Amino acid sequence: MFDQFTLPIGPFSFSIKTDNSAVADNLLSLYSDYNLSNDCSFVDFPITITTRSLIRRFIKPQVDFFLDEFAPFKPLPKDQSFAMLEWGMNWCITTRAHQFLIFHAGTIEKNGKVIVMPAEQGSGKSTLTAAMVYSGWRLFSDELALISLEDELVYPCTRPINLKNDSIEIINNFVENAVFSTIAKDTHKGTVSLLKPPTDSVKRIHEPASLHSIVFPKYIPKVDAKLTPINQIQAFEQLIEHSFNYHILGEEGFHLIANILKTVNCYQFEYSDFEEAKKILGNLVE
Amino acid sequence: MRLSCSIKIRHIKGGIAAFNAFNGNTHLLSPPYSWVIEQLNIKPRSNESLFHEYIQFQSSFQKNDTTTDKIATQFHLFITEAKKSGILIEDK
Repeated sequence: MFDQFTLPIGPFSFSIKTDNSAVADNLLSLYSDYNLSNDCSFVDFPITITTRSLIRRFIKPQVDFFLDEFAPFKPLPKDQSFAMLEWGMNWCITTRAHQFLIFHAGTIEKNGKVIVMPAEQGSGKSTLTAAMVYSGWRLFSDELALISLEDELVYPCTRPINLKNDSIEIINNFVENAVFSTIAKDTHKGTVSLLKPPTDSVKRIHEPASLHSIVFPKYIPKVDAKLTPINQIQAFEQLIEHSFNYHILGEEGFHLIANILKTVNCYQFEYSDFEEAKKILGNLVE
Repeated sequence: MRLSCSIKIRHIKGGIAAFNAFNGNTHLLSPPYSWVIEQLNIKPRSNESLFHEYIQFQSSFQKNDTTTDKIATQFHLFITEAKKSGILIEDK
């Protein structure tokens, strides 16, 4: 028995078909503010998450991810099915949505000004994003910054925030009444849980905004928060490193980065404390 | 010596970004090397005349203890690498 959902997320429309009750339950819980439906209007990404054959349903059950008929990943344990869906949705966007220059970055907005925070895995990007968006900022994404080649605006791709290991407890303590997905243990990223995005951010999912600053964050325990300007050569280099599709866009991507660097300031940002981070990033957009 | 026609140049604060449309590589150059690219972007010139101008530029830019030999080594190394990368073309 399959459940089917059509899920509009910013500029994209996903259809998700699944026989896995955990996926359906988590979708209904974390995407409850979205315009979820079960009609099959036009979709960009038709996804199926399905449990493997009869025997595999009972012995170490596994699930597969399909985009149309294509399975880009190896199967994963059933208890990682919702995390697999979220990772798969990221993969769909980053490998196909080349109308955008896409960075691996937390992306937040306040006062109509977007801060893009590109970073490596494990740098605290999603944790910082979660803390900021539950302190009055708008969530665009904790994973992807989508900058349109057409109008150079940043487009929201607001979805649940992917938290790992200690960050789950930290954000659970920081955010009152936080809604989390079921926890997936022993994934390739450790223990993973997804945090429901703020309702206000979801309501404004179709509102793009201008890029204001690029901040490369790094969580360093017990360090005083420090924002250090970096030059554009360093920023350009780091932006290429953190881009998913710069190599595909070629000259268009090159000119887009050069254009955005004309108007934005770029910084390295070390932090350990959310309150200090909120103050410093808040000052940037005042 | 000239810039390859597949090189697209953008000035950014702190230097130059050069994109090679032929192979998709991006080169980010800060001074003094960005200065070399800027000059060749204005007009092609011989290796010798470029080097002569480079020495003058560097003498106003570098510390006094940098010898002409050292500047020459840096210049020729850069030109060699830029040719290998397809940024510069030496017309025969």
